[in-house]
Amino acid sequence: MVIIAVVAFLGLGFARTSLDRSAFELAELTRAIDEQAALNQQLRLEVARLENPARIAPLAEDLGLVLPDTTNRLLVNLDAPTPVVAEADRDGANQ
Amino acid sequence: MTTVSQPRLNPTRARMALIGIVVVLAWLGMGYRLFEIQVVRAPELAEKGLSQRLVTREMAPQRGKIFDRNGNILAMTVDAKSLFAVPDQVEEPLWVAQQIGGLLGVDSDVLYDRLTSDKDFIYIKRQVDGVLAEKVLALEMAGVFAHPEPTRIYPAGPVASHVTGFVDIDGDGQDGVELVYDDELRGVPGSAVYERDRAGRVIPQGNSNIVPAIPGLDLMTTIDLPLQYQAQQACVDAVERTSARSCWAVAISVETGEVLAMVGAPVFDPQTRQTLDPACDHAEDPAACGMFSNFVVRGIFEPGSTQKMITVAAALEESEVTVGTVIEGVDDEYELLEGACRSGDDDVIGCYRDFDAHEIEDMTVAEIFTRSSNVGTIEVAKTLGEARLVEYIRAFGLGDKTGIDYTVEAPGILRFDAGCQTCWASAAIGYSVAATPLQMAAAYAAIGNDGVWITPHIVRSKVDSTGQTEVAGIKTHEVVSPTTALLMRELLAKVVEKGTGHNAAVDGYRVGGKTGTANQLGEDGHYTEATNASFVGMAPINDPKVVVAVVIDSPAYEFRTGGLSAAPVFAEIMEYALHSLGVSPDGTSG
Repeated sequence: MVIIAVVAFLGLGFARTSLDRSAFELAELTRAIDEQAALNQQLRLEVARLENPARIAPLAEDLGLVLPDTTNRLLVNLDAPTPVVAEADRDGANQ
Repeated sequence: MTTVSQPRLNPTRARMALIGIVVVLAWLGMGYRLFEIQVVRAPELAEKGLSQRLVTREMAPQRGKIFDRNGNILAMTVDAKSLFAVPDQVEEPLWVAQQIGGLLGVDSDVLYDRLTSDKDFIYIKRQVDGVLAEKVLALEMAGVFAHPEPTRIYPAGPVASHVTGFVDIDGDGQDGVELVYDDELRGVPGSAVYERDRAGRVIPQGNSNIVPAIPGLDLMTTIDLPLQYQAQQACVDAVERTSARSCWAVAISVETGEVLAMVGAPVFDPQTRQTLDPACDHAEDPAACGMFSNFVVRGIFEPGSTQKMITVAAALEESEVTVGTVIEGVDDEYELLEGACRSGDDDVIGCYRDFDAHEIEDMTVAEIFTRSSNVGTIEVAKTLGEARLVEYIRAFGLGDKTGIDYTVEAPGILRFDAGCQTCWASAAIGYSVAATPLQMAAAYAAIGNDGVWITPHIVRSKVDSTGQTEVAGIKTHEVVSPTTALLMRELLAKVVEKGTGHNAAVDGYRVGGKTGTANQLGEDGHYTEATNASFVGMAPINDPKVVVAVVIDSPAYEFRTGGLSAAPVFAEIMEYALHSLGVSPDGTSG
């Protein structure tokens, strides 16, 4: 009986310390998650800033890019034996 | 006789007995104390101990994000650091002020005064970027600390500011979408109750109760960020090109009422909460000059000739005229009040003149509209009468708020004083009526939408943290029939193809719209040379997708008309909008 009691007592102590250790690990993981979440927010913000048209447009201009000033349409003739892609004029007729 | 001697008490034993008694008493005392602490006062002491270990912390909710229609972030909250000091603990305030002033761009002298004050706590700077804060903390200055504080960031900068509005330093919405949807965006605070040890560490298996914060709703707006940028740039360029005071533009989806872009120049920076207008540097009150404003929603102006769309549409709808109806003898001057035109002055009540002088001629309704004849339009309005004209003006949304989900919308003004003999004629050509650019855009959108007026709106849906979406509802009402709307669209197309709006043409698309040039009222009640130049139009005419309204405040004299200053801005914005939305070209105009 004594031996059983001692074993039970030791087992209880072990279980308790295991739980406490797990709780500390959980707290540490929670802290790590919060850190990663904050980092994720910062990265999303950085992406949003990089995608800002006000940033991209001047860079594009510096590289010589311009907005297209004409509209080109391509018509695909599905009735042809082999579909043919032709550039259309403004009235829709093939060139 | 035998005598028996009394046993004598051994002194040693007596001392031992005494010691024993003292020890027993001590043990009894301790036992009593233990009993008192562990049994009698146990509940009270346990509660006291728990209260010392328990910490209650409010968990601030994450403010919701604001997105454009394509998922680009317009506003979000991130954790920053707020730097503060405890003046008593600062050992070298002069050095600290100089170091921090250099790093943070804070006035060192002002900071020094605050560091040497008798306050217990002072903020050095709130919501500082994390990297910068770490640089300050790395200097390990005694008495200088930091705590985390959420800060609102607008990644698009001033581009979307007239839509998002802004928040104050505490993160509370102050204007725009941030204010209208402040309750939805801010979320619900949570709380955390837990036990901690002397070192501040959470005690595992201790008492704890955590109520998580509920993040604010995310808002998906109808704004197209690239279009918003292009529109703003067009306005900024227009202000510079025409030396105007300001430029305002709005683009709306014809079929849904969604606001695709809403911009103004000078631009407003939501981060610094200041309008970026160089003129404000020299203003009497720079702070007032730099305040946020949104003329699209709040600014009213006499729309001038853009109003004629409503007059003609009403007359067509009521079958008083057709587009081919000939109005005979249209002069370039019309005297509603006898003798009003005698002085030759333009600013006389009751005298109406066409912008371009011409001989008396017969004009069709189509010509009157295309050539923007004031006199001809008044003749058309005569067929309606004041009552019906007012009815249609109201039906097209003027004189009342559109109901857009934005702050402080102006209802506009309809001035039809009792006994006013000239109000109806003035209203027919866009005077005696004051409207916002948004109201004009919505009115034209009704023409594009086969006569059905739709409430313009900015927020398309709200999304909670589980991804559940709530879609915004909209209101509609019919203003004119689809037939009348179609006729008006063709008239509007002719304005661009053959009339005053040729600068509004967009390559590859048939565009329709109306120019407006209205003199501004001076403080003395007389009209001045300054104008509000406007253009409102839509494209493609055969199946309109987008309406754009542009108003330019006080352009230079050589750019004073809507055709010269506002129409090119319209063309630039409309072209980008159509390309961006993937609208197929329907034919060249202009």
